[in-house]
Amino acid sequence: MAPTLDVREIPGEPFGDILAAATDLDDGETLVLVNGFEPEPLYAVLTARGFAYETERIADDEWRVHITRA
Amino acid sequence: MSVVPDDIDAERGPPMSTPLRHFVVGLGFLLAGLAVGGLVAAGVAPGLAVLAHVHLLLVGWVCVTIMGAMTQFVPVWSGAPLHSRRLASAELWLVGAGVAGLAVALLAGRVAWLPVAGSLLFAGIWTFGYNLARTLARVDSPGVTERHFALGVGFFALVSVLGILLALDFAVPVLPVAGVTHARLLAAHATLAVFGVILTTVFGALYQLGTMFTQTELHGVDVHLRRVEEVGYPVGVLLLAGGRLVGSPPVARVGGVLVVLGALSLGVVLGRKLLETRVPRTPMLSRYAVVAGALLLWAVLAARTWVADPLARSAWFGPAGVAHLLLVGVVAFVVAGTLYHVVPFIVWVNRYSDLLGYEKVPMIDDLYVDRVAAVDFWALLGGGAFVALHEAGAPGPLAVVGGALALAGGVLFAANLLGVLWRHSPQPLSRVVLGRLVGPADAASQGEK
Repeated sequence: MAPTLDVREIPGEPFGDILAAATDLDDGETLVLVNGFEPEPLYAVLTARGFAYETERIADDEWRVHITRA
Repeated sequence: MSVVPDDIDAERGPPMSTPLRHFVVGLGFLLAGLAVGGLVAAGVAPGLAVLAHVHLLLVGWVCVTIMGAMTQFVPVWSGAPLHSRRLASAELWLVGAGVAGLAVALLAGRVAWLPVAGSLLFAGIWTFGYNLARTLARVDSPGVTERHFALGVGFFALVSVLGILLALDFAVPVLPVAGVTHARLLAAHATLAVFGVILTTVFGALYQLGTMFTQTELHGVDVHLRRVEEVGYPVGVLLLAGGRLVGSPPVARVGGVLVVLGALSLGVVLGRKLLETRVPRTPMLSRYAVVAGALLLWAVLAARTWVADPLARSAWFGPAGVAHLLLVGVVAFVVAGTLYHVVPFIVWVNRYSDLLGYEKVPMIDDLYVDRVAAVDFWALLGGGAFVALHEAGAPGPLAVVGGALALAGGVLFAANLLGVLWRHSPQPLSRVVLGRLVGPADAASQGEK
């Protein structure tokens, strides 16, 4: 099962936790990020670090970002 | 009628201009920070808005006010002239632009702008630190307050280095370095900022302010408690932050215990002074009473959590829900209480002190509106309490109501202090803030240069 990180449960600024989880990914592994809004600022950070992402909207207040090593 | 030269020269002008300008700019950031906090509570400001809220309030309001107060108090209390008033003026522009830029970048989600704004902020803090260090170096035998301020300046430098690394890491990956990840560096940055920069400075100032305005002295057990705090607290901050940086629970735990002991000691000393005093209650002292109570309560609550898990993301400032107890109950109230004295005091000295005995002049505490001070006290206290209860898991729209209440309190508080400047300052408000940018310098200042 793909590792999942629910950002809605992280108090305050989640970037550190997201990056830590993404850095732990093996090649071919996917991290699923669950968020309450579309995390647009994250995209630039992921791209700069060599990650690819795909976002799907599950509900009005639930977005899932699938992160893999590019 | 103007009783001092109608001039604000950043370099050699009357001493009121530099600190007052810091305080007014700080009030602007206070309102902006409260507004962003309200949007966060209402759930309409996504993502990085929390960081904008934190930096607007803690850097924009609290640290800018601390910088202004230090440039005012260190020369007065320590008898050492400020190294450079020009640098003190420059620091405000740099820090102000840096914080504003940081907030805009965070709200707009433009992480690439963070290092740019961060660099301005970094430059401003180092300008301040250099100026203060040069000033403090002239003090012959530094007292307990100066020793705390020197440590505070050191923490300022450290926090800004970690801050600029974090900002940079958003735009260009620079972390992890030597096993230190973004998350760990962030934990150390936040720990050093709140407990190192802000509380060390606040504690140092309270030894002076808490005795001066209660007309009391440290005696008996106070002296021992001061010794515990003065040695244990800064060591504790370094260990707590260091432990979080390298991910070592035992180191962070020892640091956390020392921080709690230091906070308890200072809280008891301040509480004792407030109980001993016979001075009538002022807006300053009623706010300090909240500070003493909140600090003691926070220390008891934080102790258990930090012993159990000093590294947890949710326990940076104590258990869940206690961050606002510390940041509003202690930090905001000490800054608000102090401003309620310092702003009227500086204006009074410049405008009325020379007239004492010649004509009827108002007293310092006549310059602001008492009733507004009472209302903003309860609005901020209630607002902070609601947000803290929400954080602790209480149901209902507490965060939104609390945020709105705190914003209303902030508006009244700022209006009351700006009213002091508006009605009593020898210079118009625009010149207090902008100095020589508005209107040419008058003849007196031309002659001074």
